[in-house]
Amino acid sequence: MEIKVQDENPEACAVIANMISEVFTREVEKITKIDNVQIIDKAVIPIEPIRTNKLFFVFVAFAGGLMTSVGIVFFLQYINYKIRNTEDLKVIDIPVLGSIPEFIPGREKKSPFQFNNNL
Amino acid sequence: MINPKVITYSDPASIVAEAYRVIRSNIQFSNPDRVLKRIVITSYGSMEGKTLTISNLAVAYAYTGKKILLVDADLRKPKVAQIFGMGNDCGLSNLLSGYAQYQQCIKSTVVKNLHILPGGAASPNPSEMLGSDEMVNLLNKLDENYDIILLDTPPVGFVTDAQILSTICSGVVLVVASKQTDTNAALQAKSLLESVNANIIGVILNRTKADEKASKYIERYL
Repeated sequence: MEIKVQDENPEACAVIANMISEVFTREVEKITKIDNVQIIDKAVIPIEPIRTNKLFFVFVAFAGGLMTSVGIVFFLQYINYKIRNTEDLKVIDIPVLGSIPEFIPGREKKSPFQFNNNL
Repeated sequence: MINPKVITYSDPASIVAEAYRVIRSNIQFSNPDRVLKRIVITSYGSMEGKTLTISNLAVAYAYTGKKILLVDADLRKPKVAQIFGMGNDCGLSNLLSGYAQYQQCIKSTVVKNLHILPGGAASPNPSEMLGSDEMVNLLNKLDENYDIILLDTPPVGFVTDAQILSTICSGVVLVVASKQTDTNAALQAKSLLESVNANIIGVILNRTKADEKASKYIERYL
């Protein structure tokens, strides 16, 4: 059995781990009547803290969020069957005669070509 | 007064009017070996812009000097007369039921060479009327007086009227509204027209997003 303790204070980690193992051996012997419960390794004060890599987790969370949102966008695009442009009309396989933009009468830009109304 | 949305009339110098003239040319040259005399316009559903498209095309056609007749064959919801600011009291349904002569119902417009036959009074059986011999006879008579006859129809996805008309006309144009029509709906419309051996001239994509880049280019060009 292995006991792991995480804490901001490295000394406290070692003390807590050792205390748990000591109390554990004592109590187990008492409860189960087994007398060969031993401590193999004593906890030592850790030199380096673990989980310093906060930046790494921020990055992973960011990448995960990005992938999910892009996935949702593609999924919505995939389930949208509406025709939007002439490219979408290729599926229909009918010659495209042209496209008319949405317009507001009287507010449209002039064509660069002269138009003779009196034909 | 003609609805200003008939932009080929209200603002013929606009880029949008130019787009309608491009479509006119594409229809004219789509079947070089065959004159398209009777052209049907339809779409899968309602509110996709059939009537406005056909009205704009009719004006664009009339400007070429050809004699054009715009027929409102949507006897269920006739809207052509309203767009051209005229009454709907005498029209196609009255002619088909034998209550009038076509000379009485056809009206001229301020656009030279463009004449209009409104839908007329509501009838209980539009599909049967449009499929009748009277309809064929009427079209034959009109052919003698006009170069091109354009017919506005109800949605092909809902009622059979457009299918019936396409069998007695030379070609069908399908209107598809951008961001509104489903791909499946357009495919359905196509197969409905193909099932009656209609000559599908092509498809018009309506209400697309204006191309900002192109407008800027044209502004610089001016």
